[in-house]
Amino acid sequence: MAEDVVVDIRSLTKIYRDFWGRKKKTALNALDLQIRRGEIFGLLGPNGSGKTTTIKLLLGLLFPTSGEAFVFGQPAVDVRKNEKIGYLPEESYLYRFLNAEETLDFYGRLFSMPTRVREERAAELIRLVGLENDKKRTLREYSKGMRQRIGLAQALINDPDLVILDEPTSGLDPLGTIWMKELIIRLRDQGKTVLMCSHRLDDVQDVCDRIAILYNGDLQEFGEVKKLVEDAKRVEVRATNLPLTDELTRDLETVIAKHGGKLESVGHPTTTLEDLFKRVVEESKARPGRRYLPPGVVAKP
Amino acid sequence: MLATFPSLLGVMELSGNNYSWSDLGNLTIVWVQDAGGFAAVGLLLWVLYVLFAPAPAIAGRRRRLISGFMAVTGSLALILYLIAIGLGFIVRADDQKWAEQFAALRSANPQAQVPARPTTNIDQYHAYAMTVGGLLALLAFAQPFVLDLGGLSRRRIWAIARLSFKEAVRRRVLWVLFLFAIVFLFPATWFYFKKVKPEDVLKTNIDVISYAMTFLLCLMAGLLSAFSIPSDIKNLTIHTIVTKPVERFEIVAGRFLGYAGLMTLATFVLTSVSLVLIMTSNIDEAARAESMKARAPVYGRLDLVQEKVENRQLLTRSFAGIDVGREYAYRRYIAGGSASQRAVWNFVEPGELKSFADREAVPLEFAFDCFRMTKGEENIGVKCSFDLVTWRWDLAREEEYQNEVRAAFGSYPANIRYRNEPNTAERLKESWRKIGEIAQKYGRFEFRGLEVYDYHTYQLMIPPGLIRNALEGDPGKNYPIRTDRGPVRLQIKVKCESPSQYIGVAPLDLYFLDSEGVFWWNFVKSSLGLLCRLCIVIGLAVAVSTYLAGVVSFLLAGVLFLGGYFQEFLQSLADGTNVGGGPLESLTRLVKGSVVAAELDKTPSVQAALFGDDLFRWLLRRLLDVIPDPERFTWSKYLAQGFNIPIDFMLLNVLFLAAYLAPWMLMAYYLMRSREIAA
Repeated sequence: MAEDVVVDIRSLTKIYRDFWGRKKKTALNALDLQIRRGEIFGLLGPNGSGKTTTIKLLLGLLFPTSGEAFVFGQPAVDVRKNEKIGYLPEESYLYRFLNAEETLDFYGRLFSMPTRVREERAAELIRLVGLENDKKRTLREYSKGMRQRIGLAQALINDPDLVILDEPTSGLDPLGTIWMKELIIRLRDQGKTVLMCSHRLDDVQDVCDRIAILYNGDLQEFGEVKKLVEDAKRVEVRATNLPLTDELTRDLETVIAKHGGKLESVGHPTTTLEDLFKRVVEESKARPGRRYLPPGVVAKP
Repeated sequence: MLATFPSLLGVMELSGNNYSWSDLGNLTIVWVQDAGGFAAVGLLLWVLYVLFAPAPAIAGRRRRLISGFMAVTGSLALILYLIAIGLGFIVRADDQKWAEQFAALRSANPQAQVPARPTTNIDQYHAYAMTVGGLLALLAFAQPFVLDLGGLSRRRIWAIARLSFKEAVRRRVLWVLFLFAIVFLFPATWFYFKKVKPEDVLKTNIDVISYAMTFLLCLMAGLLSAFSIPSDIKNLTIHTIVTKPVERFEIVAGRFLGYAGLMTLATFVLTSVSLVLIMTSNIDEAARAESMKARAPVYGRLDLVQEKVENRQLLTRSFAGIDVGREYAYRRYIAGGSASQRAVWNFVEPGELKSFADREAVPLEFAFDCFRMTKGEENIGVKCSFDLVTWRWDLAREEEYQNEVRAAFGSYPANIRYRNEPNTAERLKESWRKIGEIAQKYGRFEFRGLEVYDYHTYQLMIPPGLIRNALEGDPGKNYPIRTDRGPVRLQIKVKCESPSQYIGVAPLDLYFLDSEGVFWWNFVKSSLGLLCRLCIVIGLAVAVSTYLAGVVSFLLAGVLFLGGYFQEFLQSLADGTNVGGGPLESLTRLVKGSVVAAELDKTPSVQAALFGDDLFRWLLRRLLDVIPDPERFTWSKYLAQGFNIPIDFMLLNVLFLAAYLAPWMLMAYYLMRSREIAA
């Protein structure tokens, strides 16, 4: 296995059987996949496609029916490989009777971290995930978003080389989602490898370098995001300082036709709803008291 | 001989049968045979699992699920078991032939004791095959576990133990149980409306505290342990643990240690509070004298005999004792009056008696049951006589002995008591010295007409001269009075002198008092027995919960634990000595309307039923191998009766506890290892 390959999956198959050994469902069918060091890899697919099964097989929560999986060169069932892995489950499966500090302390102990290192790391992560003011409250009192944050903190407690995130933006508000995506990119910039599962395709498109799309346990598509989503049959031109007029439209039609193409549409491009939301929130923070005004209405001085 | 040693793995009898370190060898062999049998079954299941179930991904340097060592030793174990099974058929045929010789006796009385068949070479080879086969199976099955032990992290186990502790403490429902336990710590006689004899007050209080604490703490321990791992799996919190570098068995070990630690703390708190309440309460003097002690006894071996003197020869014949119709057959009875019946305690080992030789007086304590056929005289107890003779006593010197006693004290018997109060008259001290000299010269001491009442503890002082006589020289191989441990050096013969009355005796009813310990320390030691029982509950519940759901684990652990309290009944079912036969035979008799004493016609259906019962008994014997013996760790009964709990006795029983829990932990290791957590 090449040194830059962190996860190596070879013909991995998982068939669920009933008590009598009869086949119930093929959750994963001969999956072949490699995840390289330092990339953000997205695993996509509808419900029941095998995304979570793949992750569970990599983490040793399930045993494969056939095939092999290696993480950092070690078999997936070898617990020693977990020293370098951080895992954020889809739901925050943490002990609700513990508070944030106790939670991170517990998971830090499972990595046999020295006390001082553990305490410093826990404090740093609590600050990172923005739970400084709530660190003494038990997880039972946390909102879903807060639990997701502390879940991420426990996934990072050991400063892992591979971070596995199952629906990382689930339960987060738009700002939380933006924060999470920025964090994921930061992790990649630190040299870590990130494997994420998500239903939110826009999130995946924003952060992932490569993706795999599963359907019914089979790998349907695989490759770099940019290349996969590129529409080679169309050409997009963007321009600034250009008033949109009928004359412009006619001129463009002529130029395009001259080159053998056909003008489909011309108009103002759209930004994303996420960008709009971000802008409004930032402006509201900068100008307290700012409110929406219908068109044509002027604010009273 | 091994048949006399019960399984350490499962049910073990205690009453009167305290094993010593010298029994460890034989007990270990029995343990290896039983644990090895289960290991063989486990090995077979593991092989089937590896062959047919999805195997964990392997690549490169393959980590085999069945190692070479496992395969080789397992195969050898299989060969030896096949040999043992073959020899077992021969042994069984011999047993059946032997039993047929006593069929008439058994049909008249199903509970009659059939003498043991003499051991043959086949029996020995069978035992060797079972032992070595069991050892090999154990080695094969335990090898992966032993290898993985080195990789376990104490820090991780400690982290999980801390988590378990915190989780339990933060569960409010358990505090309710704990508060209930506090209520029972107060002296039971405050709530007890039935009148309790003054000397039994402390005993009653201790019993109530012990039973209440046992019930509540075992319930607490069972609930916590049985639901811990299943809850983790159900709530998926275990995902965040298993995806860390945590060995599966570390979860089991951590949970066990966490709950054991919590129960230790709870036991310590409850013990401390109850001890303070007892020590500061107003205890009757009679209760203090009876129970607020920690006696260290030296026991002899009890035998009931009928004796008579014929031609200057003392002839004795053992007998089973008289059945007075008591439900609880712990004691056997001898008749009073002119009956020739005696209860004889035999002391064999010189080491047991040596410490008494240099004392001023040797305390002999006893407590008997009195069974009255008539009311007898009012306010007069049942009279007993004590005749202590050493191996050097010569019946031919009886007349000489009696004459010397008469000459010294003016009457025979002399009934001399030891007095040691500061104002004791010199003549009484002189009498004691004289009777001691006579005892040392002849090897005999008597006391007659001692009044005893039901279950009171009495003390009779024995002159040390008698002990010195018993220790002098060696009876030799030809001395006729002997036990399986050797020639008897000292006999204590008790006779009931009151006509139409009986006294009931048990092996532990009479003893020499070696020393007395401190009550509060004994109280603490008895609480360690409760802790051992809690460890059984926790170990069982955690082990079975690695595979079963919480409720099922709780019920299974509860049934196994409580089954230990009925081991005597279950053993009688397994041995076929219970009245009425097995379940299918009983059902057949119900359907046919046949009485228990009548023999059933050997029709095909009856034979099928009898075969089914044989199978049931076989299964029950296997079940008895896994049922623990909580009574073995009920040390509060020693405390309540005022007896010391010896440290080496405790250490030996802790070893028994480890021997019982080890196979369960091994099972838990394999179950956790093979379990797909996310399935």
